[in-house]
Amino acid sequence: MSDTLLTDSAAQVFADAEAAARGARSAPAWSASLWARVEEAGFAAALTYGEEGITSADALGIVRTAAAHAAPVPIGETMVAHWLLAEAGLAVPEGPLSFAAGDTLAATEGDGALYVEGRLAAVPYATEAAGLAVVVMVKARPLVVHLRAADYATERGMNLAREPRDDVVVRTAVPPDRFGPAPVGLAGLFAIGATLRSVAMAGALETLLARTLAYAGERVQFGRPIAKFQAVQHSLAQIASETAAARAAADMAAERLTGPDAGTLAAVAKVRAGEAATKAAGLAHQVHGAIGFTEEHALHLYTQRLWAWRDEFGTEAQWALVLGEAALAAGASGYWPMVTALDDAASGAAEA
Amino acid sequence: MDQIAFAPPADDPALSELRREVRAFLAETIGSHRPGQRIRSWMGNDAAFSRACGAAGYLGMTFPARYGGHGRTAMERYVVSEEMLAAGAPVGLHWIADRQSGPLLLQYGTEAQRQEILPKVAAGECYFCIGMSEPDSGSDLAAARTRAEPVEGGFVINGTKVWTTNAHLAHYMILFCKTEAASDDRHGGASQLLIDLATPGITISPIHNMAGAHEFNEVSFRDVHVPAGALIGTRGGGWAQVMGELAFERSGPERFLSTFAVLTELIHAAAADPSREAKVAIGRLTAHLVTLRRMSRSVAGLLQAGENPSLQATIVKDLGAVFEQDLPEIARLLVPRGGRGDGQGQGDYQAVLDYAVLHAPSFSLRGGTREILRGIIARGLGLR
Ligand SMILES: Cc1cc2nc3c(=O)[nH]c(=O)nc-3n(C[C@H](O)[C@H](O)[C@H](O)COP(=O)(O)OP(=O)(O)OC[C@H]3O[C@@H](n4cnc5c(N)ncnc54)[C@H](O)[C@@H]3O)c2cc1C
Repeated sequence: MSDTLLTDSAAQVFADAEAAARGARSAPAWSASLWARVEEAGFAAALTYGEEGITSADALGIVRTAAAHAAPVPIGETMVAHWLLAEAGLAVPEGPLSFAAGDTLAATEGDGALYVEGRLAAVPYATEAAGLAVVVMVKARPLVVHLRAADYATERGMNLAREPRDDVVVRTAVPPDRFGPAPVGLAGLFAIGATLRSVAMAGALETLLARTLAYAGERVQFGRPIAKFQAVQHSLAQIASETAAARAAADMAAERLTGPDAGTLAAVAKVRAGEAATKAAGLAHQVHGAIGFTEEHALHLYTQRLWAWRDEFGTEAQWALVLGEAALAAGASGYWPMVTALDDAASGAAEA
Repeated sequence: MDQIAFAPPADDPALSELRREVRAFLAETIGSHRPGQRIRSWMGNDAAFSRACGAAGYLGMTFPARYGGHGRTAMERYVVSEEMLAAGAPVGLHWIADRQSGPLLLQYGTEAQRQEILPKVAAGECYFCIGMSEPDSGSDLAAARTRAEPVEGGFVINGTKVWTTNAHLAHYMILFCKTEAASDDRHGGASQLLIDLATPGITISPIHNMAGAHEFNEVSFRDVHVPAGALIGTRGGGWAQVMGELAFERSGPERFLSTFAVLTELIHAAAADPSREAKVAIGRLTAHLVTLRRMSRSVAGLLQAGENPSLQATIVKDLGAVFEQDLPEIARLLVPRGGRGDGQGQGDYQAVLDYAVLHAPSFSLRGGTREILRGIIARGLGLR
């Protein structure tokens, strides 16, 4: 599968996802039939296609496209879970998956099995998932644990956009063929989650921009389309600039999903995309007027997701703190070299 | 949204070697400069430094060798530019010539103009100023009234330019003026001329800015005779040319790095006892900076690929101005002017903060106002 093939087929698979995202009032956003098409397209394993020339940025392009259609399926979560299990040398089950950093779980090894007990908060689509890939620390070593649906109970929760964010209660003994060494630690996994959400925000912003442009071109007041008013044009220009910035920042993080700079780039992306989400969502509602405030209009599918995703896997402030600490550690003289190393593989290698 | 896409800049391992060279050059030439000097950056003037940049091969980098250039790529030039700005090097004298006037002459100039001027630009010995704005023509550049009347063997110029940065230090001006009879086409009838500022009839009067500095000027032309060879490109085709020139003017890293010293001095000042608030604010600024740099490098990559990223450049300039105007406001609330914790070098922090606060209003004016830039973005989105 080539990267363009991947992009094209993602556009096809998710083309009608928005209708599925609407669902019933107060029901969670989830579409089993859409998931079947996602699975058929082979997207679940996209992060493990490196040998076929598919980069992490290409793979996350699927997540961006899904978000651009408000797709009610855990595609990013499944991709990461699939990758975790594969890297740990474990069998990967079919069906939607999710992942979590298990820092709230107690995990102890004994008699060849791993005893896992505790509660995980707000795991995306845990109720719908066929299983979870959870990273736990055992004797200061990160392990990936494959929990099957039968191993845990879930309590339904939802984010602002009614996407499933369920608590998971687990108490089980995991046999040796379902845990293995993890390719990332807890912080690394959290950063991957932040990058997933940043990429998704970039996708939702692209749709937000396109819809807002289209609406401003159609809506007539004072005898002309509101897009002809300079104040409205400037709002649209700002939505475009914020969208472009979010995309640029998310691309950077997606290119380096793992590796030494991954955490810093995830931080850059989450801060910048989160800020873009806030600004652009506010402006988009302003341009839409009252119609955009209705349940019937699709705008909220995107603005609500943007607002929700800002808060997941660390807010702008939480990640800015991480970046600020890195900047202060680099100090006044080390700051610029730190900045240039981030977006310059060659110089990054040279500085290291 | 293809028209606002910022393609990932290509990775070139040779760039890191160049970056190391430039850093070593800067350590040697301006290593002893205080932050108060560095903050002036592309407003700082130093003829010896400009010549040293020329000698090191850091000017006219993308010009062909036959014009004294070095046949380097846009990405290589980008690395040199951003390192100069991040270090706060005094690049002001040669900046406009290297950034836009030289490339304009390379593209539209006559062979004689190129041979005479470009080698001097590449050597760091020839400075330019931009003669676009006039008293009654700011954002509305097409309203320019300065006229170059075609006469036997050349032109006779009358009119007044304002806000002309460095006219008092420059050797040449690229003059935007009317050469043809008025017509219905607001954008028609304009040309660009290469003006030797030593020509009789030109008066350069200082205008001091609100920080007390003499950076820009009023330049008046009274019956100024210039030869026919002063014409750049096509007579009457000045509008298209000047728009192309603005793309060079707006796309560079100087649009978000001109007060970079505020950020490094803030980090220095906050380092002793950073509050959570300070860490978050510095982290946020870093996220913006890293993203702007990525977008700006992408523009350089697109230029190198022969594309016309003027919309992307406009987005970078608008976001860059917002960032540069936020920076001193955030800094002054985190570390009050004069309130540096460690009691050392208070002067440095104060000096850069004062400079940035006093110059911030100009960031969303020079090179096109915020409103004009947003209008250009709106046009790029198909709204006009
Ligand atoms: C530090 C500095 C250096 C400069 N250096 C040079 C130089 O070297 N050479 C040169 O030629 N020029 C230079 N300029 C001039 C600069 O290009 C102009 O200031 C700029 O184009 C704006 O023109 P103006 O100042 O006349 O403002 P105006 O055009 O009068 O604008 C005033 C206000 O009205 C707004 N406005 C105007 N038209 C519209 C519109 N259609 N829609 C909405 N709002 C509008 C503007 O955005 C602005 O807020 C420099 C300016 C500064 C501040």
